[in-house]
Amino acid sequence: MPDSTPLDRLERWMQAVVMHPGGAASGISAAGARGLLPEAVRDLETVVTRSKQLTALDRLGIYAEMYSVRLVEVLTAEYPTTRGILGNEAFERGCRAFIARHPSTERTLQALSAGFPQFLKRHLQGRRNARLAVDVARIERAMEEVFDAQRAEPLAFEVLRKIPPDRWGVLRLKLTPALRLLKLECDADGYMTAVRSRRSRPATRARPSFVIVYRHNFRAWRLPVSREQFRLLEALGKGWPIGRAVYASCRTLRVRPERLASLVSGWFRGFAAEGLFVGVTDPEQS
Amino acid sequence: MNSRNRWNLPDLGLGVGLRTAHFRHIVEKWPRMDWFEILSENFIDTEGRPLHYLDRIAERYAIVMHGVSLSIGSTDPVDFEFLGKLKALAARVRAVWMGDHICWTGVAGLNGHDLYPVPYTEESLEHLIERVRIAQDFLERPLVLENPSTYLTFRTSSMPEEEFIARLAEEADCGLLLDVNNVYVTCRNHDLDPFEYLKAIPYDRVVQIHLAGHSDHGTHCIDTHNGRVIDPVWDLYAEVQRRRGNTATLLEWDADIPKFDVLQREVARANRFRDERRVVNG
Repeated sequence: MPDSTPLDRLERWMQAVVMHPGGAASGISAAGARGLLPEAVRDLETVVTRSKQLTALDRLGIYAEMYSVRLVEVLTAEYPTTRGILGNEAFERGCRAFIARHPSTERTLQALSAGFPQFLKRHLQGRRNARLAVDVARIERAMEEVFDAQRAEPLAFEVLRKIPPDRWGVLRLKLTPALRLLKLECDADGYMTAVRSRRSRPATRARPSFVIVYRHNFRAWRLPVSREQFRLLEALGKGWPIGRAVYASCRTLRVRPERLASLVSGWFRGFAAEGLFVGVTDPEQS
Repeated sequence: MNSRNRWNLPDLGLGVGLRTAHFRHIVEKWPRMDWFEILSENFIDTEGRPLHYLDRIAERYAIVMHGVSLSIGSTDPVDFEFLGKLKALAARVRAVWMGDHICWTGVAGLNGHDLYPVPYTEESLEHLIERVRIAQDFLERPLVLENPSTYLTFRTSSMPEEEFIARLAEEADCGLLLDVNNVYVTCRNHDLDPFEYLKAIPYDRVVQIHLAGHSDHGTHCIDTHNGRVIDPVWDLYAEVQRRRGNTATLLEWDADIPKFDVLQREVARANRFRDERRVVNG
């Protein structure tokens, strides 16, 4: 960086040192920092002064330690059940590896761990409980996301009920931004519920499960749903007309037509009560 | 003693940081408190429960915004998108003033989510003055910037921190949030006399004071915002009060957060040094 100023070089150097996963001492001699301020490798005190009690390295080490501790704390608060599955040490190792690979680029901390479940999937490959840990992490991340998601006024079931059947082929339902649909590889929701209620934890064999995570009354909730309910919400989320979404999600269900109508009506009533629908759109009028 | 600041921003009295742990207590009991300070970033990029509570609380109490990610000392370009979010939040909660720290938090597009010190050089001073002016122009109000706790100093520094801060405030025409706990922590960490530090502060620019607890590790102190304010920090507060007069004073307590009434009692201890007593612990 021939055009960079001394201030710019100093900031980049300090950042490279304090964010180095091996700590400040490793950071100073690592290529990133060494290229910016080579004199610090020879004599750190030409860059950072010592105090009566601490060396220059000790002082840099305070910032390096605080960097990782703070961000691990954030992940620990967001992923309590994932941590319980992996154990404290393995979880912290995973956090530190994640932070080293994906340092924060945002002004707020909300997005810090967005890629953590996906990272864990690679990081834990072949490990016992990896499938469960990743699925639980996905649920915990979704709960963070819906907690912060945009607000939208929910639609009452009465509004849905008044839609004439002949309009189902055209009208679309808008889902709340505070909703996440998760197709999981095991019963992670059942596991989380058991942990929460201090019951014995269910076996978590590989078996697809479906969970929705949403915000209602400013709290994040998770709810296991059937494959058909999941497909219905997924299709509505893609902007399919109501009728097409219902048909696509229920075509494999083996129930009598009159029973199906009552079943689907119950789903819509339940989802509306949880505030999952926030609008009806008519493409013919837009 | 000058009891007014340059902008005639009010002495809000005694306040505490608004923290999640106390949301419910506040909206159920509406306790006595002159004002609340919010951590700006906790209410940005979210429309969930924190903002819901903040909206309610802002209807009854004065709100001041205090941030940790402005990164005014960074050499990265000024982030106008972030400034826009701050401005929108300030309008929403009718913030009496807003500020951040004299520091940088990241460079090259990264954020360490910590308050990193700048070298106290003419180059950094010029850099910060320009950026504070840009931010103030955008926000259409003065920034109230805080002296951070620091754990190292750079060899290239050519002036003491307090002189740097005083010159920055004068030349950028910004306000100051004088954190007396940070003065104590910084001076302990750099073998300095905190009372000498306080002599250099331009008190007509001090809009707000912070009090807090810290962790003393023997060889150094860390600004952890846990526990009560120690007596030497109260001594510094008394000195600032003597020089500045009644000023909006806020207690920060962010780790091992106690019940709200403990905060009320702790911040009310500032009344010992004020000319005008504020009842916030009834």
